[in-house]
Amino acid sequence: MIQAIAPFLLIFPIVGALINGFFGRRIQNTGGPNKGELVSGWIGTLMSFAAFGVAIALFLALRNDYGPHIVTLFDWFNVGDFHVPWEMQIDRLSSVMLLVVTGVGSLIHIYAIGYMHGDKNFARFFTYLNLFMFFMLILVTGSSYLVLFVGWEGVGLASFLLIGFWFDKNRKIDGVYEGVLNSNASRKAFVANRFGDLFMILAMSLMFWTFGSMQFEEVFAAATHGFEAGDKSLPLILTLITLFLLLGATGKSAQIPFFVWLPDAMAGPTPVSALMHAATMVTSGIYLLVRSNVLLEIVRESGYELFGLVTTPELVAMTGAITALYAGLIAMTQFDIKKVLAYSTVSQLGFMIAAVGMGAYVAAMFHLVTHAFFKALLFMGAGSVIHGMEHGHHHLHDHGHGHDDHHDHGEADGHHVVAAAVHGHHDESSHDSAVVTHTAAAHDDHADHHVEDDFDPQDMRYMGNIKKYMPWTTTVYIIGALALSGIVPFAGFWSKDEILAHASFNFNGGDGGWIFRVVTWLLTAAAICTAFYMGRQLKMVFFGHERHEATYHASESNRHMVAPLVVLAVLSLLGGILNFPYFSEADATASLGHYAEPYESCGDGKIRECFSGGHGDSHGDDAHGDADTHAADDSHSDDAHAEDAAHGDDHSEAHDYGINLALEHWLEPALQSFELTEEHIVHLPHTAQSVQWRVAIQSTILAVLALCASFFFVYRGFNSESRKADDIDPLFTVPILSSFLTGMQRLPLDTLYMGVLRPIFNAFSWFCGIILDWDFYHDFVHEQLIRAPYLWFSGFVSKTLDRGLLDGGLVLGVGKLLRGFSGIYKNFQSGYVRNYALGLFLGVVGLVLYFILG
Amino acid sequence: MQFVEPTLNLSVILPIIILTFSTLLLMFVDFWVPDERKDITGWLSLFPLGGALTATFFQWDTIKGAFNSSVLQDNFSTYLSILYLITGMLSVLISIGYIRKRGHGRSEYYFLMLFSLVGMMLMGMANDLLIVFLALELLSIPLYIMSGFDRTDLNSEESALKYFLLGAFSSGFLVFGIALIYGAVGSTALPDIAEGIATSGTVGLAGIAMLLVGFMFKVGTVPFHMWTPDVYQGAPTSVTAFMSVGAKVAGFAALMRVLISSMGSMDEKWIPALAVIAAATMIVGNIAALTQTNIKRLLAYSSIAHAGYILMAVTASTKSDDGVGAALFYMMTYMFTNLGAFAAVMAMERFSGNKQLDLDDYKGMGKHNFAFAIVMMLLMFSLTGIPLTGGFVGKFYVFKTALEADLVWLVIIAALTSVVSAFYYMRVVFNMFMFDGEIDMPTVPNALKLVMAVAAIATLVLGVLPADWYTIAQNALMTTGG
Amino acid sequence: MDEVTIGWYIALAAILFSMGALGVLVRRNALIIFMSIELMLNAGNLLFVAFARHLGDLDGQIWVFFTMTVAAAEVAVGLALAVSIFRNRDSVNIDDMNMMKG
Repeated sequence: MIQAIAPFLLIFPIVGALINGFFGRRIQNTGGPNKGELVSGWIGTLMSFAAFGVAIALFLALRNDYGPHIVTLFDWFNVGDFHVPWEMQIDRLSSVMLLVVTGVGSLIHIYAIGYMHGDKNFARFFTYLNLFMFFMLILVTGSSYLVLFVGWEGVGLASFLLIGFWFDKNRKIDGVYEGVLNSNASRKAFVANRFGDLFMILAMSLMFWTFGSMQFEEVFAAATHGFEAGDKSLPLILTLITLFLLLGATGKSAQIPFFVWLPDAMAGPTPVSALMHAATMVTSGIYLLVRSNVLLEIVRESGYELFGLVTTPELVAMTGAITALYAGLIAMTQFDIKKVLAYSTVSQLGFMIAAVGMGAYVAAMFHLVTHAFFKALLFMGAGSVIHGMEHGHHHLHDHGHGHDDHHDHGEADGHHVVAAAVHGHHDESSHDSAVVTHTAAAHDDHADHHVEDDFDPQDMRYMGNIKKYMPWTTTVYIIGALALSGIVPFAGFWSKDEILAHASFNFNGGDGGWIFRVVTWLLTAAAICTAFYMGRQLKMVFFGHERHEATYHASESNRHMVAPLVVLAVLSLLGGILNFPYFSEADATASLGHYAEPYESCGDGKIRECFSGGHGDSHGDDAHGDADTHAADDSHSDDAHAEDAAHGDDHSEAHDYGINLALEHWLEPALQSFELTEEHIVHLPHTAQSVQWRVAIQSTILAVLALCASFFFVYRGFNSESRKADDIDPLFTVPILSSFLTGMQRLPLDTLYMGVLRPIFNAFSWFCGIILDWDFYHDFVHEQLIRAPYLWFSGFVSKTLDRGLLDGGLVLGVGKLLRGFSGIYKNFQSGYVRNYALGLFLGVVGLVLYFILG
Repeated sequence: MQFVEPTLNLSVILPIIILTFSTLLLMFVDFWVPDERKDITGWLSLFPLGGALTATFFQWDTIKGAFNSSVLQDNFSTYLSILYLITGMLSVLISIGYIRKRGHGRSEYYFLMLFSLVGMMLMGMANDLLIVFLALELLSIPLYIMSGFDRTDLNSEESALKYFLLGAFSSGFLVFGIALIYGAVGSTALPDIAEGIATSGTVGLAGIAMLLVGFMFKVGTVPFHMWTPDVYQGAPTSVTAFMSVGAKVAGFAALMRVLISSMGSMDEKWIPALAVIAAATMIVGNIAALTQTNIKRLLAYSSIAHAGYILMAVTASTKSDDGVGAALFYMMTYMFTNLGAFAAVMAMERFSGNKQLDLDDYKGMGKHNFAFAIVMMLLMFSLTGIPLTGGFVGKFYVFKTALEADLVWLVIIAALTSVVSAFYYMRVVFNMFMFDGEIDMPTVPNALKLVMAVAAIATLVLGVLPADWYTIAQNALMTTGG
Repeated sequence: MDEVTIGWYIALAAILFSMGALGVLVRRNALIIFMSIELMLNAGNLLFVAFARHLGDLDGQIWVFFTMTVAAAEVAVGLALAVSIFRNRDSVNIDDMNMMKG
């Protein structure tokens, strides 16, 4: 059954892409714009849903089955004895990814029908979306790093195409065509990703060189075997491989040092941001690392320290944690509604990467799933708000003065795109803090700008009190924001708490070394930031007072957009069920038995010597023998009970796990390091099975406090309606004197904040946002280290190689020399038959002489 | 004296019988085709080809000899026959509209082409030098006529005469060489030669050298290549397309058969000679192409260069198991790509005045006709050997097989010359996309579009999913002996 | 006088063949070149017959017939081409034909 249906995962999206690619424009233009659009959009959407159906079928098939199932599609290439088949690997890990990708993806398809309404390239958009689905499914179903890499590159391509989807916008922003900015953004994403890919290729090459294979199963088996056999060079090689994999993942999953592209990627249409740059594509780095868990655990076990400092799993954890905090801080300073979410995504991906590095693979996947729910929800909610603002602005214009490029609704959609070069600029140049203007010309243009042209539907400073005009959006957005902030009982709380619990559990209980301690602190701080910027965003967008006329005319988005939001809101609310923890250690012990294995015995300071007794009792030596008590996922919790009842009688101590840790039980067979832990080959860090009450309460309190603080401080004192003046955000830009004067009439706390905390914070966020992020990363790293050599190289190729060598033949001597030879040869080719005959004759003489004499 | 009843096994030459007799039938039918509608004959000539192709498909995986084993049917010959027949079909398709204008409404063109195909098919099956000789002449003589088919065009006439004179000259060497081998060995059957050649002495060796000349001329390797540019340029383009693929592949077929099945034991002797010739061919072909301005002449030099790459695989074929497979696969990619490229040339060509065969005529094509330009670009990529095209995969296998045969220096030359080849192929692409220019392009007939599409798709398929096709080429093994 | 051995025949054929080849190389008139090529082919025929006789094998003689037939076919085509060219340019001098070169 799996063999038969798995190929359809790939067939459906590619068929959709082909239909829309070849006939889309025709479909779109028939039967009136609306009708044609719906047909075209629903073709794409149905193909996505069909893939979702297949994913569900695969999920159901895997319930009593561990996998992995290898589905061979065809022989990719044969070189002598070297065969590379194109295979899909369907196992429980990929099934989770499949459900997320196709499920959330399908909802976003529906949303996109509403969002892209009126765009002249509607069908092209759906072509790309389906193409993306196709490649993403290749990525998560590939049975080898090579196939995965094909998907990896493919989603990069789709991302490139979609970020630059509005490459033809001809509105000028600061003197530059918006389309140019969009394509710059897409190029930036592409280039940044290539650097990550470079390391992927290194990792694969090294892998192939060492193990002679890139198949997951073979590589893992070979690595395990080599490790057991005590191969001396293996730790170093695996350390390098995992390091390269990490760097590859940092490219795709937007981590330090390659995260610069993701905020710019917001130039793409919002469904793209939701689908690729929040829910699915960017998580492929996490998937890659989780998939490679065996390699990471072997490195952890071997204790090989890179430069004598950290092991690669620890490096992974640090990378994730630092990124989480760093991006969280930047998110607090953003004004663009989508950029807040973009940095937030970077931050949350950091949580996942940190979890992977700490060996909490299940927690990482759990957070990946819930994050997909609520971040897609938030992005699409933001898109809905933007749409509403656009609509309001549009409305305003129809009554004011008609802008020629505003007639087309699709064109208007494009206005909320703020792309590469404006990054930062748009935010900072409008207020009076010490801002580096990046180009003088841009600054001048800015002054010339028509006031109305400055309207940016993505700028939160123009919003306010949206709740009055867009009630549905507001409700679901709040749910998403609470989920992201980690407030009980929303999905985000459970998943984020599991990561935090894992971290603190290991450093408190297991004494997992300084890494866990640092990671705990960093992640806790990042969680506070999360709650703060989400609260700030809620306040600025949905509450307070209207700050721009457009807001008054904002209206709720259409059904196609709202329906998926509601579904995702429900998922964000209930997603925690997926991996509900036990409420006490006693419960866990009673239920699972083996978790009683005490971690006190691991008091010698090394976490890797302290492992949970695996899940030995539930499936010990005969773990893979038959149907076990693996059950439940998603909202099928009722089914899960039934399944448990049916299959749970395997062991005498058959436990009805219920919904507790369902995801963990689901994933266990797919994560070989669990099995290796049981076999005492590696030692996975301890996982907290029950709620760590202290951590939970602490993080909840902190999150609530941060939320309250943001509501309390942000836009405080700006209750009166104002227009352009609202460009000024009290958090940053109000001159100290004026804040002092206004602050005096208010709480002293406010004054304290305004006068003391704010400048410090301001300076720090300025440092992070401008110096570190813009000047250092964007200007220095991206512009100098990456862009400049890239430009030099492309200039070299186009000018020197192409024009010089090919056309002029003058610059490089080789070309000249060759052409010289060519000219000499032409003399021989004289056109006279007898010369040709002579040549032939001499050839004969030469051959005959060689054969007779030689 | 014992009378041995000869085994006829007509099934072996069934495709040839079908092709020959249905062509003869077609010649009669042609009497009733009015002069101004000779296109009909062209379309009808697809039927003999289709019939022969069908019959050939059924021959796959059967090995038989006929006529006292002077004709052999094995996967090698079957594979090649399929290539020829596909070449024939595509050539007929590109010829129809073209010959109407350049052939003065004569339909003999198609019969000549079909008979030439019979010769080509026999070249792959020949197991006796007599058959090789007859097949070679049967394929060549129609080509001489076809080259000069445009009687009023001086270029066409000139190319025909050059081709004919040099071709006849080289068959003089061929016959003399065969006579010497016959004298040294006592037979012209390849299995007999295989037994006797090692001890045949000077006479036999001289015979081999002269025999090789005949083949080398047909495939156009240095220094027997000099007719190629002139003939390719002057002949009607449809003929050029046909002979650049058909005649070349047939020449290599017979060369491989003779070398491997009858002279495999002497490979130490001929490998160095062929390797040097292959190297010279790649160098001369690619370098001479650099300064060409006429697209047909450029493609002529390019086809010389490709002959060098194929010869490299042939050279390696006794030392490496994959040599024959690599050569056969290369021929398949070469067939589609080259036919497509010439079809593209024909789409641009005008029949009077400025013939639009200059590279500069392609300037601005990217804007004028994007699809055409993309297909042309793809074909040029394939000829260059850029990944994801059939040309790359073909080169890859050829290089690999040569490395297995320890011809490292030859591979280095091949790799370097491939780089050089990028210069002139890319010039076509650059002209199309980087420059602006007025394009005066006639309406492209649908048949030409079809051929270009087939070529482009085949090039892509062979480039992206080569595994199955390469397996087929590898299975096209040659049987030795009778 | 001694018996005429096979060596003599080979020598004679080689001389004839060389004459033919030289004729192709030095003559300008297309018709003369045809004749020279015929000479080369006939040198091959002579060799076949001589070897057939020497080996006591009929194959060589059969070869001669085929070669003659093919040669005749070639000449037919060649003469037709020559006639056609002569019509166009009043000359069969091959040195006049170098429109295409380089």
